[in-house]
Amino acid sequence: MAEAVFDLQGVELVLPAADGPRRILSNVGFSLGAGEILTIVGASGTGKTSLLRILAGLATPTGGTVRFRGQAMDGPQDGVAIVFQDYGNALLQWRSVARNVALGVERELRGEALAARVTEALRLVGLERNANDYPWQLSGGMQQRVQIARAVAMRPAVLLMDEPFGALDAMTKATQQDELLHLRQATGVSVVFITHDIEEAVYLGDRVALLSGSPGSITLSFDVDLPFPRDQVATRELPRFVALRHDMHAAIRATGGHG
Amino acid sequence: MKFKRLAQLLPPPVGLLPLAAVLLVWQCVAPDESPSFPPPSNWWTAIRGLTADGLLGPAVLATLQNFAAGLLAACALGFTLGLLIGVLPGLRRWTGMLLEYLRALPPPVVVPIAILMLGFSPGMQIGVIAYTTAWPILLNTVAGVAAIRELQLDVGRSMRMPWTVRMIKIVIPATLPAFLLGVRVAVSLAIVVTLLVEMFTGLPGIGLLMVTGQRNFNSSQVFGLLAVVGLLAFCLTLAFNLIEGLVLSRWPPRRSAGA
Repeated sequence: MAEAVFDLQGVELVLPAADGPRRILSNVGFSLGAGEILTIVGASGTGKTSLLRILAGLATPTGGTVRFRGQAMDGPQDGVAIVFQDYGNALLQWRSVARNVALGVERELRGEALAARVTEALRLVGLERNANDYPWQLSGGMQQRVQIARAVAMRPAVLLMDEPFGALDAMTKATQQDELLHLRQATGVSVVFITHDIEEAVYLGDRVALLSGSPGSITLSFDVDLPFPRDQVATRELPRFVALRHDMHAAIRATGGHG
Repeated sequence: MKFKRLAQLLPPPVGLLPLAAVLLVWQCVAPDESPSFPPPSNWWTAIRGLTADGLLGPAVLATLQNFAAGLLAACALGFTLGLLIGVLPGLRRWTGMLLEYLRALPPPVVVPIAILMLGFSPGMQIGVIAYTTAWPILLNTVAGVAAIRELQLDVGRSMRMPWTVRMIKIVIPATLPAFLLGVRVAVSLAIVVTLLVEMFTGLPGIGLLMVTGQRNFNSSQVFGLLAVVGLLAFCLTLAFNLIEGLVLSRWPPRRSAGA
């Protein structure tokens, strides 16, 4: 069996807060296989973003082990790209769309190679005509696509996404979800996708994990045995899809949501 | 196109009408030999006299040189220190009170000390201008760095940028609008302090000519020079607006129009 990309065991995170140390995550464990899409669902306050920051190497867990390709993590890793929820701050507003997309690769690529990589990434998200615009001139959905293009341009082995479509309208959201599935099919990238939307989690995931409680821990995890390619209408009408969605809702109710 | 842009920076020309009306009434009402309120035509004669004696040109040049040298030094000093204090939270804590105290010192009071330390030299003059005008630049730069979101830095960290690269690609450009806001305040302050030092110390410049005119009870000369200073300050502010507009054309437009 192929080696896991991420392997977490007993991860704990305690952060200082105004009223003393606060336990954010408790005994979180899962692993992410190569080429797999793992969606993590959780209500607000269950430590979703903290968990993603740990995977990104931007936060250090206060307990447990996090391994990336078998090695203990010590900060951000090569081959891991992140798409943040807050695209307004994640994009450098003073750089054009093209130069934002170039940000992660401009130190290794120059000239035509860089331009070609940027164009390729922009084409993938359908923004090649906006290369010279500035992010603040674009809609929210387009800005988020710029961020995805920036991540893709780095040709990552792993994509970490923190509620990337949370701020988008339903139509754009559906398109972006399908784009992500295409991307995985085309590049074989592994994805950790964090969301509070149960339907989105089931639709996108090969596997779904439920993060719940405070401190948050993974209380449920199952494989999504829905066929590929998935379809916004047909897949969501499958009895199996409805059943999985039902199970998730029931599990969340059983754990008391985020309480 | 370019001209249109320049024209947008100017207030509507209709605004000149009240000024013209006041000057006209003044011209008609004031007695020709009035010692306190000489008619505007006499200002013109006085200024022509100064030009004929070869006094005005060098004075304007000296004032402009001191202004520019002082402001440039203030920009370099304020931005460098501001960045340093901004990125080192420890330094910010330790210097906060001191900076607020020093900033609160009115600019004129440092002139006698500067003369004691540096003598009646152009260096002293530039030093005083730089010292007093560096404050708004420094404090705005500190505030600009403090306003950078953790997420913006996380973007750089997640791409494994060394801190020098993060400074150049993220921190400095993100701080630029706040820095320029400081420079905007510094420009008008630098004009005040330049003239003030000239008046105080008798070093060559428009300020000295004004004081000389006042001591000789030559009110026409003083009024004439006042008009020259006004025009000069107006042009300098306009030039700054132009430069700022060019530099910030890539940044999102500022929220408040008055900023």
